Amino acid sequence: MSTLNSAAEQVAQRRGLMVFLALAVLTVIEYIVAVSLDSVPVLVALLAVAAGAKCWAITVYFMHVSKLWRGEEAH
Amino acid sequence: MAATATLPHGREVDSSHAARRVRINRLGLWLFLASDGALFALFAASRFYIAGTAISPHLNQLLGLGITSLLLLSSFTAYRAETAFTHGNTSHGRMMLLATVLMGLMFFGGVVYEWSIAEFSPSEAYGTAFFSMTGMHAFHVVTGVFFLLLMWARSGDGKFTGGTNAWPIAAAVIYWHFVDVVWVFFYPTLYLLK
Amino acid sequence: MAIILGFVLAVVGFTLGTGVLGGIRVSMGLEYWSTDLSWTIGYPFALLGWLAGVGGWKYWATEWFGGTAAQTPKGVKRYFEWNMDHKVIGVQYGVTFVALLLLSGLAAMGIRYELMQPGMQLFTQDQYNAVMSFHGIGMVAVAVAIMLGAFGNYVVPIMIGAHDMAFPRVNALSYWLVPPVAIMLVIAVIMGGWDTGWTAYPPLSVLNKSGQVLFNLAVITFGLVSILGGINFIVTIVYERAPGMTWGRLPIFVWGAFAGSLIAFFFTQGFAAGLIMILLDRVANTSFFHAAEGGSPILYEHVFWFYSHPAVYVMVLPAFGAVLEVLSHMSRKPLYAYKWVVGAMLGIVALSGVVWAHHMFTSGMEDYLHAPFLVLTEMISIPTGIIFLAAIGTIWAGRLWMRTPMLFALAFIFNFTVGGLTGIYLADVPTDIHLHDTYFVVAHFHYTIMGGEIFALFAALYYWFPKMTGREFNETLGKIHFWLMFIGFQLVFIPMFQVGVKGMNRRVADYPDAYADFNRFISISGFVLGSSFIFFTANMILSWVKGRRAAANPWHATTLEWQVSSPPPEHNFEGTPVIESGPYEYGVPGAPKHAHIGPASAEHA
Ligand SMILES: [Cu+2]
Repeated sequence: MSTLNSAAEQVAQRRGLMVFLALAVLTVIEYIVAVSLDSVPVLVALLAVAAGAKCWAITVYFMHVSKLWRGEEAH
Repeated sequence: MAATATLPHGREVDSSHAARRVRINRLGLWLFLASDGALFALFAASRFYIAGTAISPHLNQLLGLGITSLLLLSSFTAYRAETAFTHGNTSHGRMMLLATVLMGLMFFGGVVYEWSIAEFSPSEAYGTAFFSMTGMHAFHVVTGVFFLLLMWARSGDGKFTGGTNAWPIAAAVIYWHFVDVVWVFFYPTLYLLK
Repeated sequence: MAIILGFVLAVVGFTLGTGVLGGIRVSMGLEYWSTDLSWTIGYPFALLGWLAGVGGWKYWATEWFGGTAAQTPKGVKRYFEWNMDHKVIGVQYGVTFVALLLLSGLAAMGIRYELMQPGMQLFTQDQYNAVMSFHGIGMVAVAVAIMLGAFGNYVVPIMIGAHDMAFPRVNALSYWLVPPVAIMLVIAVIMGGWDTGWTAYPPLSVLNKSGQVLFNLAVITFGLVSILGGINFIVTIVYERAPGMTWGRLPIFVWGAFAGSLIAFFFTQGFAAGLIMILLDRVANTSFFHAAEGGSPILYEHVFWFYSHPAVYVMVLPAFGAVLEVLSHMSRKPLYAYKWVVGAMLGIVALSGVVWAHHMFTSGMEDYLHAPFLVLTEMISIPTGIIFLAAIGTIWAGRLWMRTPMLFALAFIFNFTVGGLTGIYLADVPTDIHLHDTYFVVAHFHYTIMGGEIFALFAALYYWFPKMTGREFNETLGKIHFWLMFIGFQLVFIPMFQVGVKGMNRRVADYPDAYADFNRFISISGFVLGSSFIFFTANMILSWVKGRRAAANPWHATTLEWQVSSPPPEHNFEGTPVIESGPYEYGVPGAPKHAHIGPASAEHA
């Protein structure tokens, strides 16, 4: 595996890993909730919250939505 | 040399012509994704309209969890690729692009397998939702793989490396994340209800 | 030449797509050709071939694969192939959609001839359905695309001091997706047409002849045109404004284009989604609309109207902008209540997405939806009323310059008032249950869309004609066009309200004898209305070919497009535009000039 170039890149990559782990945990929770819960309204509500959280994390951390209004960072 | 402008709070923003162009392209891409997302949302809403929250008991739940995890992991490698390219790390970025493509193809293979073993037909209410939604999503997966492959093929000489040069990579990766976001909603909608 | 190449590659693509499909089908023991499926699969390939042929490959896509994009040519030739100059694209849109307007108008003449007396004369019942459906979708396409496509493209970038649209290549792409739409609709008619009107309601649209499939593919493509165009306008207006062109100084037509684009880019998917579902039901054996399997035709109406109500604001918001523009310049007065108008436009954008089910009061949808959609629909008359009052306030005590564009703009106010007031009866559930699907509805939406948007279109067309062609139009012919069209229009559609109240159904090829007198009168008025377009067409052709050379600013107007030559130079401005005040500061003491062209800057020299 090639080495990472700069300290800045390492920080960014580590943040990515953290976000990915959080997403993975949420997915597992979704699955467990789905197989163990019987009440449909509660299930729908919980899944909606989990999916919303995952969507938020991906758009904010992976897709950098804030660059839309903050502009491109100078390097 | 990049032109910079310092905003309040001491944050530096690239104000060069290239950065301006990236900003314009970025808004265009996001608007396109919002528009595309509305199409997916309409199909998801239709699922509840015609089939309620019912799902087919014949679904292979482990397969569903498997391909979902795979797509999530590919989003992570896509993130690694983009980050590497923006920080000038061409070789690692290209490797991560290939990894993303590979997992994208495996996801697609998973959907095809799922279709081939499905014990329900598209003419049932749930089947209508399942086949149309996964089919539309799989079409986006294929186009995403195509863009990522194109980026991999063209990034060898380093022309997409560093700062604003990496925009084409970033665009393909943002598109890929969007495909993942759609699945974030489609997975519970299609697999996890009862 | 490029167009011929486009055709050839389209045929190649179609043959390839259907061939692969046919091969697979034959190997599975099925017939080679299945009309619905073969068109659905062949069409995307044909579309790609067409786009590549007309210049999409040579001037753009080759770059993706490591090639070098060619330079687009200059001169007349550039109007007939892929070109990225927003002014060329504006003219391309304008000419294409005026042609479609005339063609769909001709279909209307056929309809009126058939309806002149009871019984069948000109058409069979099937042919009547085909012609009526073609008239419907043709006019809807014109209404959706022509204001933004022609004038939005030509004028908006110049008005805001930009050198082009934000995405010139996407702009060219969206224009070149238009001819396939028209061609597919014509092929559909030749194949026997489709009999579901422009709304394509299932279950009929799932069961009828294959013309329906071509209609669906064409309209999905047209949706893409609208979405790509909308995105382009939004990004252009957000990021390409010249220094000093603040949001509060935007000419009102730019605001109208912005608001219309917001709706186009976000809601058009509704129509596309509905049509895709119909296609899937036809070719992929799904059951979106098969009630027996749990599907629901009502679902289509929800999805369809979720777009198609907002679509009327894609049509009308840019029209509002153009009319207010003309009213202000031709009254030599500042636009009355500018900020309220902007607020009203954005208010319409917000409300437009929550009123769709007023088309469904008699459809059998859930009863509890009636009251909220009644109330929300009537709320939309508040922002429209504000815009109407601003129009009146602008001409109030102004020095009106009664040239052709001004006449059309004033007619817009009158017609849209009639259209708006009659809309109240359709938004109210109790009256709508009686009036639904009668000629009252036909009269109402023709007053809003034709009397509103199409009159605004002609206001804009005459107003910007000198700028776009560099020629002056013939004022006498313009006024004859106006008066024939205005009077003919009233005489066609006022009786339609009455015959609708008396219960005559819309979309019928024949009717009871009791309605004969009404229909004879309406038809004769219709031919008067149609004859006005002879004067219009003659005027356009004669003036464009040998009209007098137009000055840079024949209307002595303040906005930026009039500060450059007619037609403008290649990159719009020889120097850098400088904006120093609002766009309509007529007679405002001490106000600096709205804009002037400064010296050329280093960047764009
Ligand atoms: Cu409506």
